[in-house]
Amino acid sequence: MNQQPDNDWLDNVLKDEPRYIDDDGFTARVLATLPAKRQRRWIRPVIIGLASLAGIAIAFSVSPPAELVKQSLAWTYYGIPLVPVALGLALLGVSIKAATDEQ
Amino acid sequence: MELSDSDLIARVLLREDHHAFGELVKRHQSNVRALLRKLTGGNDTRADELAQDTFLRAYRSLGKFRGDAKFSTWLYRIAYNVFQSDVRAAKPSEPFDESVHAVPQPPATDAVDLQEDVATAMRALNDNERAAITLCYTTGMTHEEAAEVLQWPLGTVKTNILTAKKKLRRYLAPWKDRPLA
Repeated sequence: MNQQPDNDWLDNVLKDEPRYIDDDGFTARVLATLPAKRQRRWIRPVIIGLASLAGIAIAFSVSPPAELVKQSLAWTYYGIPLVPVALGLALLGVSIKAATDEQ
Repeated sequence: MELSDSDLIARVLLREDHHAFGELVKRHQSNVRALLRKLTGGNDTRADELAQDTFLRAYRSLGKFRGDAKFSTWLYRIAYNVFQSDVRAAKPSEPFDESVHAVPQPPATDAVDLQEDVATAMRALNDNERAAITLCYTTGMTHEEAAEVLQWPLGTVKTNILTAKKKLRRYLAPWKDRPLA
């Protein structure tokens, strides 16, 4: 009996205006608990490094090297050409550093 | 240009972008915290801890979000599960003592007093009744949406709302003939 007006009254009481709760550092606290990014992106610097080495190799093979380059190429250690290997390693290192810093 | 929730989710999944997830938290924190505050009967500190846990779980299981429901509905479901786990882990709460929490006679038509009495009356409900009422009235969900969040049959949602309203009507009876502000 008289259930409908009773319901309307209660519905109006229960439907209070939603009040916005200020963030107040909440988001920062959540972000602080998130797991660290997985370190599985090593493949990117490796690809960059290998591509750089390939580029150097192609450049040496298609252009007539200067005298200095010729001489430096002659420096070997047990048959290993020191300058190209050192340059390649340096470039690889720089590439890896650049790629990992970007992440 | 503001990115949609879907765009932000994609960024989180593809790049583990914490900034994108932070934007999602900023957008939804108020509603999730409000829901949990209601579910915990106004225990703001506990509600905020549960809200933090909610977002952490959401981050970890974001890959399972299929987009067939709204992101907010999915978050509410996680929040409710977190709340339920916390209730199960906690000691059983003390039974509601009506003599202690008796709703006073309304001295004036003050909306703040009314809301305080509503909050007190909500604490008289059991967890299921409070959850059903909160989802359908505070967050404005339909019964069907609430059933999805609570993972209950629709009939159970309706039954809990009916019993909750019966109790609330009794507790709030002194306010009935007063004009609402």
